[in-house]
Amino acid sequence: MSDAMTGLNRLDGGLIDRSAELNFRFDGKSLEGYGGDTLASALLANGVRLMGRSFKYHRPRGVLSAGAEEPNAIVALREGAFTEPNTRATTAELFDGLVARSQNRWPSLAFDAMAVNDIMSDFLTAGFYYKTFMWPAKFWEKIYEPIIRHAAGLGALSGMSDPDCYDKGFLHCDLLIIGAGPAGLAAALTAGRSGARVIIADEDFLPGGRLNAETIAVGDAAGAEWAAQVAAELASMPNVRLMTRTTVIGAFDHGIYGAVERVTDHLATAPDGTARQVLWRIYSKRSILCAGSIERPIAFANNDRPGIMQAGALRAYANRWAVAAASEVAVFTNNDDGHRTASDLAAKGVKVTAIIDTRADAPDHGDAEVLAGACVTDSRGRLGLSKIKVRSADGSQRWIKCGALGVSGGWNPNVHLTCHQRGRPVWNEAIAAFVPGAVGPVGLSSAGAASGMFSTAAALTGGAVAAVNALGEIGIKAKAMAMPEAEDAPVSITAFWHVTGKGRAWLDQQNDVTVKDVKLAHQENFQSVEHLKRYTTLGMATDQGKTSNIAGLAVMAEIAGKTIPEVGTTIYRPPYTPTAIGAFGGRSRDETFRPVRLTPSHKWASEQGAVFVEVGMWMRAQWFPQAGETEWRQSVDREVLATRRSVGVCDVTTLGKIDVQGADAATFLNRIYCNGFAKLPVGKTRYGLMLREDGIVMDDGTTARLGETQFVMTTTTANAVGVFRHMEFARQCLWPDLDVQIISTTEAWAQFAVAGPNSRKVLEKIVDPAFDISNDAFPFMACGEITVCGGLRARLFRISFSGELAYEIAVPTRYGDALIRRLMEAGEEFDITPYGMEALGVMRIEKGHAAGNELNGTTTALNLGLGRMVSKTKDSIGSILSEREGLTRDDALIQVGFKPVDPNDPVVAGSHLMNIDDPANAAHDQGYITSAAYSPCLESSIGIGFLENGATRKGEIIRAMNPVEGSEIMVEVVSAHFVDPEGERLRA
Amino acid sequence: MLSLPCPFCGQRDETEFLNAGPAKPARPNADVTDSKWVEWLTVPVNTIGYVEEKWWHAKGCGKWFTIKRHTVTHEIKMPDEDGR
Repeated sequence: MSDAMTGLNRLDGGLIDRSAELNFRFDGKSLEGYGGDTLASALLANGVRLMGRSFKYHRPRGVLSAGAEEPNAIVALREGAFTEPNTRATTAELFDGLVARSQNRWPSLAFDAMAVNDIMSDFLTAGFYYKTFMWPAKFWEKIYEPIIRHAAGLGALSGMSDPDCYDKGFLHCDLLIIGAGPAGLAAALTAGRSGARVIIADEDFLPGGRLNAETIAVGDAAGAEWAAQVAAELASMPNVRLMTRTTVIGAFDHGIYGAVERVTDHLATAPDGTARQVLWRIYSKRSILCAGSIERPIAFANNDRPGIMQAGALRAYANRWAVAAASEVAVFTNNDDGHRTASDLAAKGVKVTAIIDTRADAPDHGDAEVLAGACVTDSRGRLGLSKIKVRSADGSQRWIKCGALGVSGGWNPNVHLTCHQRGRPVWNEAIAAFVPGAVGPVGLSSAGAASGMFSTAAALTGGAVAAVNALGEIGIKAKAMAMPEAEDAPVSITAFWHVTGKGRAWLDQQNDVTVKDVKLAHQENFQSVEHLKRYTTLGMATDQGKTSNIAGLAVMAEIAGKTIPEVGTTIYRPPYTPTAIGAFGGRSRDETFRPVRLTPSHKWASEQGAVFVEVGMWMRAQWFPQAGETEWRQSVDREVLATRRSVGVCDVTTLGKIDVQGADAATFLNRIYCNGFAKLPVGKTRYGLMLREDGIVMDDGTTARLGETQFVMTTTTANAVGVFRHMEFARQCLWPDLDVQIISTTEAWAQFAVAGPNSRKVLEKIVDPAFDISNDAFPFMACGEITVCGGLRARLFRISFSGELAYEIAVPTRYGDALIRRLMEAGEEFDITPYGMEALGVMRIEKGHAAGNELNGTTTALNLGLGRMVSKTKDSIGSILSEREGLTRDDALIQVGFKPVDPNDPVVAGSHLMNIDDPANAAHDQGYITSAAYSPCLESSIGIGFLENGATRKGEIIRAMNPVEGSEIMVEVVSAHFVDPEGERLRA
Repeated sequence: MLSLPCPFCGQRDETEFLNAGPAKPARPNADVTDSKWVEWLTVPVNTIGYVEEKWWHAKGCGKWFTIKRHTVTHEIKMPDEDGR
């Protein structure tokens, strides 16, 4: 193209900064633009009309619009990990050094080998996936899908981690105004001057909306000047927040809106630490939608060539960006607004070769030859428009030369946000478009073009009135100011959707959906709009049919013999425009994805080289490898044996701790636990079992009575929050008359289990001499408040999860690190061994203690072999329904232990149990194994689990099968208490 | 995304709360039939219109409270009683 590189398409004027020359690259070619340009305007200024290839047929495509609705000019911005695919060139702000690439073409944009799809188009019509790639099924994954993925599609991800950071923020206001065009600015000015807290957001970097794209005057000033003045006044008001580059993407409940602010997208590099985008959650008392409208094209054969654009976009490029898309242009319209394009371009010295108006009574302003009652039937130009074929009112046809064609089929109000709460738009025949319905998000009204009021005067007045009304509803008095005078032209339109004819007429250019495809969908009975959308893909992908949906509905209505409102629209859903997933994630990614909770001994454990494991949000030591240990089992076996032989220590801070106090604390716990707590003496600890109201076990743990009116409960790590919630519910809602208070103290106390035959000897070295912890003075299940290390307050519990003589000792959290170091020092002479989660797990399985795998939300006290714990002499949560017939069957699943017949066989958790002679199927299922481990004490793999009627089947040999893991072994049913079944050690 | 009226803290964002399903009448006495218990526990009112439900101000004051929420519009009212 001769004028490429030279900027010959630039006109005079415009809202660009000619002093800021910006260099950028498109598909490797160096080009130049100005400050205020978008990528699309700069490309057009450089004579680049071809900007992309279509999704399915790889047709050459140019820019259609000048805004967020763009279906064609979809490019990849930036390089490497910063690559952002599928970005609209029409909204991408130009900066010096921008690198952009076209997408979906190979080997180049001008010569795309996959354009062969276009020739094959008869086979690629609506529903072609469903018809063509049905059979044989096994071809789908290996052959069809890779071919389709290669041939069709948009941009590609970099495959690298996103190097940008994102943020989230929260804003509150009396009035949110969505859009800063004439209506939005008038509303904001009215509300701002009233003193209300106002937020006005616009997706553009320049406030003013269409005022920047038109030659319309507001009062004595040009529209763009008026907009700039108002924006400056708004920016100076402390009660108004004017947010540019901010798209309100969704309307949610109770006046809450989501908005994405693009903070650094217009900069070559983001300043350090600045979020690229911020996802705002805006809490508004009232809101006004002033989002304007989008011009819709008219479909005709080959209407997708680069150079064929919305008429409004053509004049936006001329007026705002001082760019003529070509040196000769024509206009195709069904309404008066299209004629503005001809007038504006002619005034700028661009040659307008014809105005083709479908209406017989088309106006003639003398800007160019007007062909009334005519239509465009075809176009030519391989990679860009060169001429159009026109059918005149008398039926004669001729070719007219033009490098660009502005098409106007009327304007669609941007009703999207009014429909995000399932509101439906209503059809307005006068403007042949949908306008917001009566029922929308609570507190949201609309003004200006978004409400179907298209004139500038109506937008200004409508915005001001809407602001007064909205604020009036929340008791803020605002004065409706007189608005400056502006054009008030009525809408004159005769609906016209597509030109009938032979060639393919494009409705949805992004998804390559033609009028023919809609006809085919109708013929194949996909007539509901939702079916039409899914079958043809009309209105899908990044633009969500902003320029195509209504025309598609109109064609369907025409074929079905219905009206457009009868056909209806598909559901509008957030987000309004594509939103980076990173913005939704915000700072919650990688190591800051969620909070991490560290145990008090974490630093010490790290120094020991512990391997850590995530347990919920906690990081817990899994095992402590020592020199020479090459495999985790070596470490775990050593830790288990050392603990059982002498003494081990383990951080158990993560267990939930709930402090229960009050005159009725005992009564309260008696109702929370299914076993009795009312008579627990002070200084004693008791194992408690907690049921859900439906009789299923919820949690277990020990509760210590530190005083008449004070208990300390422990919960499992996983259920700490759930149990606390449950107890708060019971306290506040079920028994508000009880005098009891609870508080979670999980993080207030560092707690360590000290277990093994020498545990008392270790503790005696740190417990202050005033406290006697001998077996007589401090027997099994004793508890007490003591001091350690010379006066530090502590709590000591003689409880055991490992089955050994064991204690749990707690000190205020800030002393946790010191305590573990002191314990290790004191235990040195006994070879004290720190043990982690794995060893803890092995020891509790050896002891047959239930844990999360057993308390799995399906098991009862009876299943766990604890049926007798459920007190029948009192009412506690779940005690009634635990007696239901189905839960008390004689052959109920009972927790037992399993030992492989061949000690070399590993027991696999999750295995199901089958009798030896029964077939292996669900009908003969006898139960399942919940936990398994290698027991270094028994030198065998062991497991615990649930077996039908298990209590009476000790000694029986059955099959444990795990088809998923491919294992089947013979196991012997044994007691779940593999180690010290009489409990002599823990009482020693 | 709702905005909820905590009786103690005032209007707060939904993310601070935990929903606990429909509010139930008082817990039955131990002597009612199993089927009455099961009905109390498992059969919630599910109407188009206002339903009473329990929320917990988990990341706030810890208050359990009841609201009336419209299942279509999400309009929220406080129940007639003291809001416990």
